[in-house]
Amino acid sequence: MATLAVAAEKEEREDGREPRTFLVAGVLVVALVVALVASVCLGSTRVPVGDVWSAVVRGVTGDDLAPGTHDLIVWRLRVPRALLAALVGAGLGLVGTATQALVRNPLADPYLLGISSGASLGAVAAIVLGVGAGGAFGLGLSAAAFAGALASFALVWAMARRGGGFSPLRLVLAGVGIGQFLSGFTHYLVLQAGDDQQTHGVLFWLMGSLGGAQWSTLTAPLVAVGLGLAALLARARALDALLMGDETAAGLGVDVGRLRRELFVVTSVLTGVLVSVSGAIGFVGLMVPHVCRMVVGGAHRRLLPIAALFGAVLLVVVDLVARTALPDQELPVGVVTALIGAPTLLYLLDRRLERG
Amino acid sequence: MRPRAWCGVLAAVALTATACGGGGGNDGEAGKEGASGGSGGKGFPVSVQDCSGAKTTFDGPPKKIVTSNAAALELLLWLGAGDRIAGTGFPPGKGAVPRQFADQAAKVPVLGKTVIPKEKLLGSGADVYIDSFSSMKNMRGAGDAPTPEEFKAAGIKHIFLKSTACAAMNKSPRTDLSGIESDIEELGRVTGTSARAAELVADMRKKTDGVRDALKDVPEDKRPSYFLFDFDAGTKQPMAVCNRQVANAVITQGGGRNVFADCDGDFKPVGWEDVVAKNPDFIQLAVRNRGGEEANRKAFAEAEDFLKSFPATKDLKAVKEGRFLRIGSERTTIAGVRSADTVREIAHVLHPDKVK
Repeated sequence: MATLAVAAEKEEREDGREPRTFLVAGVLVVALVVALVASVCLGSTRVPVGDVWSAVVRGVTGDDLAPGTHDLIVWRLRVPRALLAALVGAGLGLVGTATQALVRNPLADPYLLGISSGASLGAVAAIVLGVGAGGAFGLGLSAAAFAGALASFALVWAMARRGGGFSPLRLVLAGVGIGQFLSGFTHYLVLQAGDDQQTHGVLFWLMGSLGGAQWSTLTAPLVAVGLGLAALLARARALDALLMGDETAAGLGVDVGRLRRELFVVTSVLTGVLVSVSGAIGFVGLMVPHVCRMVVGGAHRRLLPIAALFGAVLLVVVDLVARTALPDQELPVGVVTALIGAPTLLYLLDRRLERG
Repeated sequence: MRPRAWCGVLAAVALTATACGGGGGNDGEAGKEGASGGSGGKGFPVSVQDCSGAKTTFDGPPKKIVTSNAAALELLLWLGAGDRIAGTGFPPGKGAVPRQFADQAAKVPVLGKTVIPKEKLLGSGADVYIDSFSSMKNMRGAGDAPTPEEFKAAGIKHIFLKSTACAAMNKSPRTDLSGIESDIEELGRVTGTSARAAELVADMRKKTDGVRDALKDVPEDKRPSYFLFDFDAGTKQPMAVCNRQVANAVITQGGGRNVFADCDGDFKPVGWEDVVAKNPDFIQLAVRNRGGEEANRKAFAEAEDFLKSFPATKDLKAVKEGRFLRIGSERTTIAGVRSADTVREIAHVLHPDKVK
């Protein structure tokens, strides 16, 4: 480990990215604050800034909310929703980064490992088969999504481990195969739902939405993202080594098999928690690590926090667009991430190629 | 080409077979119609139009009718054409049709629990298919709907209940039941039961006119605002009933102001923020029939519990004062003879002193 640490630090000094990382982090923090403020101030209902402010003050100080509707909208809907967007975005950024290191493949995200598919299947099954559709305000659904994520994780794990050890290729193939199988099953269930409105309830889980946000739904993702970040940061050096190949990593003293297991558990649990509160939001986990790597380089000690921050900013903005882009209609977040995210990623890739 | 041709041949054979076998029954039918004062074969040929204006002509009453769902099925039962129903999709659950039709409805062959599979529909030997919701996006997406050519090859005339099937394409808001009434009249003409249709429509008019008279002194802006809560469409993102949907007409006639009356279309996913901003006076807990009184009661209670525990809605005026209407989704959002009863029921709750 010591040699690795020295090597990584040397690399950092050489490419001079340490100070730049702080700058980027600073910019992202400012952007996050701006995005959160905008997200709380804007929406389909016009709420005067003064009312927004007083609602937030009343909310923060624990005063009774004014009986009108503005307080409800600002404090019970917009603030938790903006915060949930930030948390989920941060979580997706982390999960994407970890998964890409885990399978040593820049195309990886939770979808690739079949985890999102499992979570969606769990939720959709609960809706179509009519379990806990409303009950304790959708707690049954979140639990089903989480259970689905863990079950698919166990399946992929079992498949990938047959024949001993984790090879990145086995993991990816098992993930893709099982993910496809589960998606097929989900689509079958969607057809069973068969009517427009119920299908819409299902769409929430397939395309993702932050519409279910309330204060009480923030705890689980807050804890999960916090622990996830800590767990991944503690393994930042090992992650760097893993990207150089299993042999190199082993040569540097990393227990590759064990590291993969740990990463797999962390990403699965984190993904399960995220999907259970926001549905399967695609693309963020894939795109965020790429963009961040272009800016701050591949060392995970820097990459992980920056990816979390950037993911947070991105999803807050995306959710704001999803809520306000169309008059009297709300878009699924997944639609917006794909429509805005994909061209952005392509543009950045293109520019990077030009610069060589 | 080949499979399609086969379908045509099979359907044609089936049709001939039933036409021959059903000869005796036909006479009886014609006699019955004569007895009930129907126009029998006299009113033919009859032409009807679909949503886009394309014409379908009938030279005589159909002998075998397949309905897309329980709404069309129920209308035929009301019209006294129940003995000609050869099958249905979306079958009525227990207790979904009025008691006097329960036995007859239970005998109708179920061709599909949701959408009728294409081969089954084309091979059903029907000469007319009555479609209530063909414009629904996801049903087309299912890839299971026969094309106009296939219908033609199978000898099936495809007609629509325009009040629901064409809702999204309507140019102006629906504020009265005329769309439903003309569906009933048209179905009466097609099935040779015009006299019965006229009776049904007259009866509906009597009910709605009564309500209208009773409410004529209540000015537009004094009418309570009304939110139809489509519980089964999911609670993460509410589904608005917009002004082209039949329910908008039912609510308006019942003396309420649909809070989403300014939204053009049939259904649209909105955000909770939009509902909270409207702060409705009354909320209809529109749940779908669960197949029994006890189960329905439970579903209504679940919907109410959700609104009472969801932080953004629990302090709304209607929720705090318990102003809920427990009226099923079908009776409000699907065209039927009972739409007029729903109008009365709503009017009674909203204006108890004027409508008993």
